[in-house]
Amino acid sequence: MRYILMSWGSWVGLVASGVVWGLPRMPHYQDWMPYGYKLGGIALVVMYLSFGLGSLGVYSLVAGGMGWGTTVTQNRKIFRLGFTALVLALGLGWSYMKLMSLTLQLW
Amino acid sequence: MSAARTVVSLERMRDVQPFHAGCLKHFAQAVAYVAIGIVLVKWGTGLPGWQDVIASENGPVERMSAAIWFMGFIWCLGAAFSQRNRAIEWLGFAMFLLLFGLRELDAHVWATGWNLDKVANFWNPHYPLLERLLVLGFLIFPCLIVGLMLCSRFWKVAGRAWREGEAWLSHLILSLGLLVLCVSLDKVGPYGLLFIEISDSGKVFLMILEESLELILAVFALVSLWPYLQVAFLSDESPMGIRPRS
Repeated sequence: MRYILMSWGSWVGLVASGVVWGLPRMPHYQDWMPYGYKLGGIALVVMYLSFGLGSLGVYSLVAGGMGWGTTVTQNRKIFRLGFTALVLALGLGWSYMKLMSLTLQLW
Repeated sequence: MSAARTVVSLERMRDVQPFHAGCLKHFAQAVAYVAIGIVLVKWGTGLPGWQDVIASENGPVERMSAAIWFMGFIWCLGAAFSQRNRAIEWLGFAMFLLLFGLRELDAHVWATGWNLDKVANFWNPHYPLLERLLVLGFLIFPCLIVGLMLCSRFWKVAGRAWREGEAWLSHLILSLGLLVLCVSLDKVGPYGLLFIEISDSGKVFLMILEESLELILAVFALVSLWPYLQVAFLSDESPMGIRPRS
């Protein structure tokens, strides 16, 4: 289990499946976003950053929680990093919603 | 802080594969991963043709490439935060991964209204002079400076790394080769070669090849960085406050 969670394949797969199946199902998602309105393009970039932060956050919480770090201090540090990354990911997800609803109002 | 210290210490801390074998193994892993991923995406999304999956604008493969570049960007930022004494290298990598992600989403086209890839556009009076100067000042020159800084740091240790067969150099060379191939295919695909007319089906094939290679490059870049990212996140290198676990 630890080997799977520490491998790149798991986290790349998580993010890839997120953008292939998750992103088109997000509220307000439109295929033409970046090309129809610049604000939509910014919203899309924000959402991609949110996926990256989400993966880093979950990895860091798992790594810190399961004690993969070399020291206790490091485990606490990476746990804090993961928590911060997840909060930022949620914030960016919220920003995506606001930017997209604004884009659709302006369109 | 020097690149030599960075590379040597990272190589010692991880059981990195030996020179060519490790590089080719990682490349083969990336190719196999992408191939399986594309088949799964076609099956999962129910899109009718391979062209719709791989070569369509904002299609699944392009979205995956962009997402992996952005993921690499965020993880490198995290590594810079976690491994402060190598922050410059991590931030340099992060900047280039962000640029690749934005380039994959064509952000340079929809944000400015013109294609920054075409060098001739910088002389084109059709586009506002102020905008062209802003792009040069805030995008091109900073990238050149960061690129030159990273080159100078790695150039100092490249000879020794080649002789001793350190894995990072072969990964870097293969990544740059793939990048050149992708850019060449990107330029050749839609327009055809200078003297050779390419049929429509040939252009589609080149587009499919280019998008697949871009995804392989993104995965390979992350695979190459993965051992170093793990070291950055999991090892405590700060001289203060170390408390061994057992």
